[in-house]
Amino acid sequence: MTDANQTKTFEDDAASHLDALYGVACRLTRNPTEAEDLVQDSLVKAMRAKDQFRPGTNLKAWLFRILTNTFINKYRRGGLERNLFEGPDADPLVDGWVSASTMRQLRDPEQVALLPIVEGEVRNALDALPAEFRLAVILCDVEEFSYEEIAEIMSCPVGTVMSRLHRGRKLLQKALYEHAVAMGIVKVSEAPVAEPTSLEAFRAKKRGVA
Amino acid sequence: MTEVMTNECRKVSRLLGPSLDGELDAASTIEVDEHVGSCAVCREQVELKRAMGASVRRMVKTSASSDFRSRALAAMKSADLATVTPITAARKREPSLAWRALLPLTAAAAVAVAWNARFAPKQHDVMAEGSLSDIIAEHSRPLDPESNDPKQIRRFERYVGVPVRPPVFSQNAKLVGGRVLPVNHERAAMLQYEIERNGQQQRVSVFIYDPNKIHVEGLDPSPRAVGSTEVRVGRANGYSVAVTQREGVGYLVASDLDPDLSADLIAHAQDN
Repeated sequence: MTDANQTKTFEDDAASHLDALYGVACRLTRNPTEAEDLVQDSLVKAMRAKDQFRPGTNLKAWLFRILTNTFINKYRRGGLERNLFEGPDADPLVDGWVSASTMRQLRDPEQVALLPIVEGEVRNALDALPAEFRLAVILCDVEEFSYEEIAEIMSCPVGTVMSRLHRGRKLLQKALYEHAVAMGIVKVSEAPVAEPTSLEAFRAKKRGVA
Repeated sequence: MTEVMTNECRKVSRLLGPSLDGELDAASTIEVDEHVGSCAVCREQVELKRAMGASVRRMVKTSASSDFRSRALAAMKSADLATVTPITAARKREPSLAWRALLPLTAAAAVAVAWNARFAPKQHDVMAEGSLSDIIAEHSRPLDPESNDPKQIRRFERYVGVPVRPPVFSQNAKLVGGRVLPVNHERAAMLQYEIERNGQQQRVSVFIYDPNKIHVEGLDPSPRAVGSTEVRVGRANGYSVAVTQREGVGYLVASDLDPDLSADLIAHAQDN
């Protein structure tokens, strides 16, 4: 009786995180069908392993840890593991590559968000991030996990979480900025980009100097 | 007030993220706040980071479809039953003597092509890949049937190599259609059914194949006796499968139902 009640509560508690798991799974897999598989897989694993969950600890973080591990296991053979654990080193983005007024141009003056036109680009920019940066950013910005919880979920030290967040956000910022420049939302002249963004840009710059 | 980046800005900029995330200690928080209060560049950085966070949040937050939600809940329930009942289930199904005589036959049939050679079965490792994933994938994301005419479906025999007779279930079941499916270098017929249970439509897939050519891997090692029928079951990704043989034909049922129900279903089916 007590056992059945506990199961019921566990099942209900776990199911209450379904939308959150699904949202993150969508961005991890970048495919709604695969996201459904991933979430269902994770929830089934959680049910089977529910004895390993210590009541009183953070169920949501525990579920996300299962989701992350399931994702890694599932895609290990597809070569995503390299991305997940090594990740390409983000180029050394120089802080403050955009002037204050340029950054202002990226924001919607009416609300605390990016310009709608840039916001549409957020998905592309996010999906283009290496998986481990993407996951860190989402766990922090969307699910509002603490650094310690994210470290637990991603099985890495807190310092690694911080650097993944920092680099992930910088890459996002850079992608959005480049999009904004391409769309003519911000003027290039106002934005001294310290690092050339491509080989061609680098050569063009060299030619300009010579 | 300045719009130019200073060394102080560079120092503070790495702390802006943790500061917004509420992860800085009190002393650093004060340091960051003081600087941001007097620096337009960093204040814009903060605003941009906030805006970016809000936009990411808005983009990622989504709701699962109600269809998926009920499927996931059903899978959780059946996973739960599966973990609670194995001991009693095993006790109930002590193999009889006649039953034991059958076992060598099944062992002999387990040859040749592996259905699922890519995945090693690791049933007890909670983080490990489940097995049977290929069959389950066909069930969970089925291709459209080639035909819904039982007469046409029986003609699949020439591809499959064994008689393809759509089973008739004791439950209220409707044959949606069937198709031929390549399995490694062999072929199986896949028939899709809709079965009404407790007022809900359940999708059930039946695979018909030559057990001498196709061997299904990753099933529970011990067979069960359901009535006089020998059934082996397996689970993967929240679905269950049950496998049996009749007159030299292999039958596999894949469904969202729990393994006991799948086993019952396949054991009590009549070949049409």
